[in-house]
Amino acid sequence: MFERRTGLIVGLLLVACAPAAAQDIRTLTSLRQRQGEERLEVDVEYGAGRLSLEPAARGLLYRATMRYDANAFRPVIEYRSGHLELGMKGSRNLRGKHRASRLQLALGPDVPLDLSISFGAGQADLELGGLRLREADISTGASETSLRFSRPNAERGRSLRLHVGAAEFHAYQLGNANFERVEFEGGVGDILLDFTGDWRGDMAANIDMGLGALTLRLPHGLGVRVTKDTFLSSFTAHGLVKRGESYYSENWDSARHRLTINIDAALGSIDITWVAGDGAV
Amino acid sequence: MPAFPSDLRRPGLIGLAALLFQTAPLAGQATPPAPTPPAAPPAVAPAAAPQASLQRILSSEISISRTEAELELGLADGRSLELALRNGRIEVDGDEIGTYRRGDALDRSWRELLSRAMDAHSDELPALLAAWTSPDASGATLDSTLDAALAGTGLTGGVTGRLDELQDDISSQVDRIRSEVEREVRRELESKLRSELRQEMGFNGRGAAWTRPFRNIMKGVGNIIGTLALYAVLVGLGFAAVFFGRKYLEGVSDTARYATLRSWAVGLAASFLVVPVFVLGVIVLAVSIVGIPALLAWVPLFPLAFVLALVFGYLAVGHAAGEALAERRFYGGEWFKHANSYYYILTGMALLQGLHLAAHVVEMAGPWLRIIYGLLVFLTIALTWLVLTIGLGAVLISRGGTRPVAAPVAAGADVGSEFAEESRV
Repeated sequence: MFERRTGLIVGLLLVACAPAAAQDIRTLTSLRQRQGEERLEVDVEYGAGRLSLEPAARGLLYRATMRYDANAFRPVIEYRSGHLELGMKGSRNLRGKHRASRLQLALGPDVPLDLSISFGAGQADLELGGLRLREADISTGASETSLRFSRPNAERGRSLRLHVGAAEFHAYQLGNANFERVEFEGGVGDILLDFTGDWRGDMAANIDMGLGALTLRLPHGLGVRVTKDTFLSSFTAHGLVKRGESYYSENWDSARHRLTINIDAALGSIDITWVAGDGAV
Repeated sequence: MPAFPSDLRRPGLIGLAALLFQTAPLAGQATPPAPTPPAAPPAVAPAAAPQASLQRILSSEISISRTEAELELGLADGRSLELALRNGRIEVDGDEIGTYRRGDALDRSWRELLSRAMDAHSDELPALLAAWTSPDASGATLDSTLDAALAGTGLTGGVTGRLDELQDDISSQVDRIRSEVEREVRRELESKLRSELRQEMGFNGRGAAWTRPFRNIMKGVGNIIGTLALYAVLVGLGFAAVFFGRKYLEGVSDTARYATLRSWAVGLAASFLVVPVFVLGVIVLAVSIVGIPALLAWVPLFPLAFVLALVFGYLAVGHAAGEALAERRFYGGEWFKHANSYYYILTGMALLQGLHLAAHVVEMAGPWLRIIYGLLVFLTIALTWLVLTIGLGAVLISRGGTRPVAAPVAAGADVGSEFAEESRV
């Protein structure tokens, strides 16, 4: 009787310990000092896990810290003459193994950046404020993503492209992004685009939305024009007046900075809310 | 990547270099007194050296796991250094210079250093690494190599030697890769040339077909067996349909027979509309909150219902064909006895599969009757499409056989009681 019980306990302990033993958690930190680089192209391909991005300390080109299961993933950190490639290549059976995965990336605030992030499933917290972004292309899959521009972009960026799959995607203080153009393509999900911030130039935003709820948060004082082409989508145009085919904010003609929004949406709701000042979140 | 040819020599060289740097002050003492002031710093004393004398670390990579703790440095003078405790081996630039035990003093001290280095500011890194001292003799070489590298001195001889070895190694690798590529390209070209020659000379494809009758016969026999198997399956399905739903099958069959053109037109329209209807259904159900549960049924059931309608319609048209054939023979006399739905299915399916079978019989003749074979295949496809369309239309018109179209009875015609039974709807 005693032996059976001991055997059972040992068996249960073995079963309980099995997943832990199967993993080989590895932490990898890679950093590089800036050496007069005039620009940096960053290409991040991260399948699943937790991804965070923030500005690095001055003088640094980048700092990346990865935590992953070495039995399931192989890290990719390659830097070659102004081009940084980061990512994680995985084995075939990744069930549950991405939970331990984490990538913390810090990019130098002194170098003009062309940023491309492709993120699959998981959580992403991207703080792009304070960087010098010229181009940014961010794709997410089934994820929960928070994108922030807490400080103004020191460069006048050309385009910020956001491709969002089935996701919860919240972008804050896009006014600080200082891009000429924002392209948003959304599949299914709950989307918030917050255009507050310190506006330094006009912006055009093209929003292509599939199925879901889209909230546009706009700061008072900004001139806004919305043109929409929707199918089975509700649209609440608070604070906007319809003139011809478009909806205009009352201060459109006198506003210092203007935001032109083109919405192409099917199935869902589009809500516009106005907030005071720069709407810091 | 193969190992360096002088793997065994490298750790020795590095160790020797490190030892030389460590013993440099001693050597200095052994030489006659020089005019240099006695307070001059030793050649290598990184731990005690001021931070200004340490060279900049341009890049670093630190990896810590259960089995290894690795540090890779890119230094301002262009050199790189890789130091690791990996699976019980102490490694410098991939070469084993000693051993350690997991959890011993060196392992713990090295891991602690790397953990701190991971969090350290990049400017603090050289001083942090230089300040590290090995807790025991097993890590002395690791310590001195790191110190020498950070001080920007030493290892010159070792590095030069390694560069030469590296150059030799790269040259041999390049030669090997070149010969492999040449071999591959030659093989590829030969195989391409061979296949082109075969095609030109007619050994492949069409040319071979004229001269290989057995292959054609075997292929034809295989296809005939396949067609017979399909026939058996259809007959089985037809029998099941007659057994479980004779009334409905006969209803659809009569509709196909007596309203053939209408059935075809309705079937054609339905085949075009099926996808839009499905999509529209999905949209309508998706936008209404009440309809969302119904969406779960709509998505799988609609395509299933469509496929079932196609199959049922095909069987019904087969039934109609068999019935029509039996009636013709009935006028001859004998076959009236066999006039039941099972017999109709048997003969009807044989009629519908007949062209198919004929095509495969002709196929056995190979390229000699290729035109006739092509014609028969075309007719088979056309007939199958026609039957499926008429069947689908008949299923829709007769609401699945519940409201069949009645057989037209000529005014004043002398219809016998038995025949009237057959033609009644």
